[in-house]
Amino acid sequence: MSARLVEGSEAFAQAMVSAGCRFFAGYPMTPFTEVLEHMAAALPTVGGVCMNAESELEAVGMVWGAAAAGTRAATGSTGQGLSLMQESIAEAALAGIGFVVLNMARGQGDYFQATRGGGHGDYRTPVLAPSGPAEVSQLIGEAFDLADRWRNPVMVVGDYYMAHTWVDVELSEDYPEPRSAPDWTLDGSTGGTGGAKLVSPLGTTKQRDGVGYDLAAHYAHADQQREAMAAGITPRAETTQTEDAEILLVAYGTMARYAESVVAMLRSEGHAVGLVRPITLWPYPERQVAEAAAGCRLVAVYENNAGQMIDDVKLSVLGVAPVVGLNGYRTDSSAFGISPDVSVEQLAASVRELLETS
Amino acid sequence: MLRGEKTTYHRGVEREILLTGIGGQGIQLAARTLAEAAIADGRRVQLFASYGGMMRGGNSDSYLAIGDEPITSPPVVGSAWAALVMHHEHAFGVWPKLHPQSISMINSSVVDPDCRPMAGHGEVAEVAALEIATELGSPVAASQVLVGALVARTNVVSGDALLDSAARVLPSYRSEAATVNRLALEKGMELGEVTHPAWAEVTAGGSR
Repeated sequence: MSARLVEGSEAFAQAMVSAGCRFFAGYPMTPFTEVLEHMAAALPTVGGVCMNAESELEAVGMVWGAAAAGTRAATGSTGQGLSLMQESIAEAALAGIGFVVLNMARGQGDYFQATRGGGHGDYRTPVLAPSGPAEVSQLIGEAFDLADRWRNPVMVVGDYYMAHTWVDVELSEDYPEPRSAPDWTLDGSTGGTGGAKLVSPLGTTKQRDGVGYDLAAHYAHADQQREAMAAGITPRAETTQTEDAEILLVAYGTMARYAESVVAMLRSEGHAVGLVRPITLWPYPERQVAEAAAGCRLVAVYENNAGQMIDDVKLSVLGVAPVVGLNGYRTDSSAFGISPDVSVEQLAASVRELLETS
Repeated sequence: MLRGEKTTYHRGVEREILLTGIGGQGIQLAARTLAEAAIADGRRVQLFASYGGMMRGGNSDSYLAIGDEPITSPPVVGSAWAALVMHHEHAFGVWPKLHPQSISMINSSVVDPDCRPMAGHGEVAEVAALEIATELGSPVAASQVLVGALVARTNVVSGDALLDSAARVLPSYRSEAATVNRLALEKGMELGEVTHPAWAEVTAGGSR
């Protein structure tokens, strides 16, 4: 192994291949395009397949098929493309088909889309949020493990900064063999062979001779599975100097990197500022946020949108401390989620103002 | 399945280098050249590129952080230990990030004489990078001259690593430019003495 300068989008791709992903499909849209390009280059070298689909609808459908046949598979897009995929993500959750969805966002305006989902039915998707390329590898591996364990789509949230930040990474060119296909997956056996299986959002009971699907039983089973998943995934957050904090910042993803710098800067000036960074956005680390907020004068949620994660923070803090939003920043003309207002200086100024006025 | 939460707090020495210019001046190549050399020296790097979707004439900025530990700075760094200014058009974002310990390398062939760091914001080095590169037969190598001059004054990367990275950072369809780029780096490295050592207060070499 040797260190190599790697673009964040390539770190996403290498992490997926290392995790045993052997099928990837997507439709180009910045900053997802760069991941798709790297997957197109990498997958054929390990016997995998990468498809540039005709649309995001087609991409998620292909991935559904690959996952149902037992291959570790992934797709992804940017906000608009993920909007198109919502129906399939919801149906895959009901069908018990696990795959990874990269949410290469522009800014953080798709927090609700990622954590609530825009599809139908009583489903949830685990959501993991790395703060930069250095954390991508670990969380991508965990996302595939979660998708397998819970047979559910799992989302990993990146952004333009992450895709376009180059870092030195130790890359192994020695890829482990992908895991074998789980028992429930389809193996090509057709009707009449005794080996045929059904994988469907309507259940796994074959309809014949007037015996229909028992949808009530299927949905009840899906509910149990979802509850087991919610209880079985440990919510995770990273805390920085929260023990004696008067003002607690809450931020995820790239925004947390800015908040971390501001905490260091203001601490060096003697201000008691701390940070909690959710790593799992669903299940949300409610306990960690609540514990960090206990005893604080104020909780300030720093996000590059009009104020979305602040809802989860309020649900976690439950009135123990006042919660304000640091959000609503302009975007630049590229609309790629690069905000001229997202800077260490700007955030430091906002927090200094809160220290004086709160 | 998921590891429990961890509590971390660490910040090592980081050298932030801001590079600004307009598309076509070699800003991104200059940043990559420095980054590759830093990795070869065993250091940790982070490089964020911003270029507004324009190939030529639009803004081209790069934010590079080099350190002995994993980088903690956000992609758009808050302060600049060094600045490489190839053009004045988008340099307004750089000046407020400079401080008394900064060093600014100015492409004096192009940058408007009225456009300079504020007084007291560190050392300012004027380098006629475009003229020097033009004499070498490659005006587009001007950013490499400026990079060489930064290294001469700071040793932020070793000279050998810098020269070795010249060929490595070029895409295959530009490989013929490696020779003149290397010459431009060497020419820059002859300009000035070490005034601003990057690693005086930390142990040389990486920690990996």
